[in-house]
Amino acid sequence: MTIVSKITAAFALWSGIWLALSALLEFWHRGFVVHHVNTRWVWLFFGITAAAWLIVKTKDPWGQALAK
Amino acid sequence: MNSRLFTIITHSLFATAVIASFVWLAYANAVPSGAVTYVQDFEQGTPFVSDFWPPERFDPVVKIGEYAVRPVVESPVSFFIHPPRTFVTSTIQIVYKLKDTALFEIAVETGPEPEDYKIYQWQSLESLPGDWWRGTIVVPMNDWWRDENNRYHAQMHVSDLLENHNILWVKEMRVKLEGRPHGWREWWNAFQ
Repeated sequence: MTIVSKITAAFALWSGIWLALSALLEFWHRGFVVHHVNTRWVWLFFGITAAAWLIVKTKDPWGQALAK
Repeated sequence: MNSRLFTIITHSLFATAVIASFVWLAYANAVPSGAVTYVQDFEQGTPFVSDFWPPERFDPVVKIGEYAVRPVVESPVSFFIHPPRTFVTSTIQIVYKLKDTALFEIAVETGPEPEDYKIYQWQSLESLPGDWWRGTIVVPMNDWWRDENNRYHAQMHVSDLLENHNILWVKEMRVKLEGRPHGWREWWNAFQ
């Protein structure tokens, strides 16, 4: 579980950094990124890995303790 | 493996991939070879050469033989190119067919006002199989106005297109951009 958590954390963090840098570069020079890369796949990748990281990191992700 | 070492290696790999992707993007945008060609074929599309505008002047893409073709029913229609940096010359090739013979010309916009454009005569007109024609013009980029989004606009003018119920079928727009900046200052200005 620790390895999965570390890998998903790295995926989510760096795809998030990639998106933030892309937005800055796109703001500086329109078309710099979006003419070459379909960013919807990066958004999907970031969303999935961020959700996976939250689930893995949270001790009780589905609130089972609260339900009892 | 040591947990901390594993974290360092994982993050280093991702950081390298992120840096490499932006280096590649900068390289692609700089076009260091000095020449690049973009093709709008109305099927695969390209973000560098737009489709036509306004939409009420053309019909949906149709298939003629194996090619996707854009039918234009009213003139003029405009399109733009959006290169990653500035270039010296642009060679525009249009592969087209007219239902009935008519005067067909390309105009490049030289300013923001509707009347700011300059008509270019075809520098070569080549007959292709299937009654298609390939017209070529060479435009110095200095003559071409660039809008605030770094887009260069052009128009297609066909005489009496709507009045004569004529149709212009456009199969392909190929834009070859050439010109390499000289010195750091020119390279920097090319991106501005």
